Amino acid sequence: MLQLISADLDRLQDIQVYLSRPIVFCEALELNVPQPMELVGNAFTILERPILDLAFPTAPRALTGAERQMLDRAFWSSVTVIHEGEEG
Amino acid sequence: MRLEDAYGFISKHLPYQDGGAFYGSAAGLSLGAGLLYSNVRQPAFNPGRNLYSTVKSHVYVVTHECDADQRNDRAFIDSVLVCPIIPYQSFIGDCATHPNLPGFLAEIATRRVYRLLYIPPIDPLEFGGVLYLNRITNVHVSAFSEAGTLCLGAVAGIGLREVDAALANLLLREKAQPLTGMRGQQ
Repeated sequence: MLQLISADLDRLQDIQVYLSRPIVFCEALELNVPQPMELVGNAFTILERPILDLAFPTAPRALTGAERQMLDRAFWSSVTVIHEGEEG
Repeated sequence: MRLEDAYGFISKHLPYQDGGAFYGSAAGLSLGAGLLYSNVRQPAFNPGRNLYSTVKSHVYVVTHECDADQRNDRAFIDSVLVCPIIPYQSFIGDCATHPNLPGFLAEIATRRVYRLLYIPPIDPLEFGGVLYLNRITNVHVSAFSEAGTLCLGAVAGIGLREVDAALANLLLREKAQPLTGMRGQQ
């Protein structure tokens, strides 16, 4: 069992270098360490799925005043108002 | 820009290729994070009137299911955090006058606008929707059992990671203005 894990981890690391997506494998390893067979199975299952890059740009885009107004209009046009607030 | 073109444009710039993988089955899932509902009653601040209104909209459930499970013998489980979803159709309709709508959409798709997150189509959101993260609000748990309120489905693993990453970035990213006691401060 241990040899199987070792061999497949080596293979995963090779693929990891190729894809440069370490987060996928970190998740797989953390989730499945107690169950070696599932570790291998799930790791390859994850590989077959679309890979999601979770990185965010470090410099966010600030909204302009006009964009904030557009966003506010879009929100209010998308909701159904069932009660207008009232002054107490 | 036509709605169909705007949909094609944002789809092309998303960080994942298969929008269909974004959602999975909601069968057997109890109220909790990752579910999407329509017609959920919620408060919404109206800046024009300087008052809160009660509205209904599509929402994404943010609160973890353990903290909303009414079978749990716990205090403080009556409120659920939800994020309003603006249907993409409404969003494009109200942003039609944007001087550079393609650029704006590309910046949303590539997560440069932290407070907005596009989600792919799910019935009845034919062209998907936009999570308005800064409008996350709380609702009473009874809002989900009102007449007319409908569970639309649930995100799959890909979708959950995408939304969770956006929430973590929105709520937990390092402060730009250091506080006392943070590194580099006295």
